[in-house]
Amino acid sequence: MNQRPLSPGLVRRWTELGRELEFSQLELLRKQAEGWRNGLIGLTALITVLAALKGRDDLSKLPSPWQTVASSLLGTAFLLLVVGTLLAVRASFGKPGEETFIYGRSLRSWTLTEVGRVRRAIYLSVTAFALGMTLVAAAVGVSWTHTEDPATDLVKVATTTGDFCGQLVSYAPSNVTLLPTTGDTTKPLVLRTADVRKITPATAC
Amino acid sequence: MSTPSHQHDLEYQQVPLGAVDTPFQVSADAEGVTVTGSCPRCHGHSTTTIPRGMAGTKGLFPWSKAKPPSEAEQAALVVSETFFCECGFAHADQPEILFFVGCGAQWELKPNSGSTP
Ligand SMILES: [Zn+2]
Ligand SMILES: [Zn+2]
Repeated sequence: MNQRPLSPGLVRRWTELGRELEFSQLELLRKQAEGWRNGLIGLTALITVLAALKGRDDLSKLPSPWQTVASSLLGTAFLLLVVGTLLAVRASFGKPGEETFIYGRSLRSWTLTEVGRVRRAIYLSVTAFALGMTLVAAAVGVSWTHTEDPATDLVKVATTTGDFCGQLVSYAPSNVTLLPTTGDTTKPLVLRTADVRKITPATAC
Repeated sequence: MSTPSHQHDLEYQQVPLGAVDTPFQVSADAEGVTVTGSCPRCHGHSTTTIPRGMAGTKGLFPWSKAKPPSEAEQAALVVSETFFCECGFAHADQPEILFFVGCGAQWELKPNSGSTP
């Protein structure tokens, strides 16, 4: 392996650094293990939070195309955040189990390569995080703008003259009043109770 | 080949000797590569171990069994690195903090000047 000449003083410094590293291996190994542990704890927290979020605003209430859109956004965001976290940990604490000769020029060229790899890992990690957060925001936006108002008293009314659907306003001995959810939503629909055959709760009209 | 005796009265001095044609032996195991030979400056017996591991840590995975470096790897390593006198003798004027206990000389090894037993 032909390398550019290094001054004798620099070669000495790199080799001395190798000797120092050799004697601090256990300490460094513990630090690395600690770093990976913290990273994995963070990852677990992230998964827990995302799972809780997903459970709460239940994407299944979204109308059909948006449900797929929101879940794919969340899924991709999740993957990006996981990758981002792992890359960040890798950048801070090194890749486990990678070996080199801890001596002079070998150590120097390994270090220079590692510097490049860490820089790339940081860049990718930040990009993945930014993209992941953007996708989470997009998914939240989709679910906010496309979730219909919770169908509180929605009923389907079967009558002798036809089927109607809407919000149940009143049920009196003479009339059943519905507020339609489609068309003119301000004009109540009054049905004769005598004509009503069946009233069933509905999730949507 | 006659071996000159260890020059104990030589003062410690950081002298880069460049590429030398001194005989040396190389041995290797999973822990690393060990190069032994005579210091070209003080002629003391110098042993240098080049450890293999993570720059920072040894392998994290206990099941990843380290295997000794190949012959080619050893040869490439030996000719690319610089060696420092580690004869172990307290030459005069030695600094207090010392990574390589010896006469202070440093040298590179020419390919094929050594032998692997
Ligand atoms: Zn010497
Ligand atoms: Zn000596």
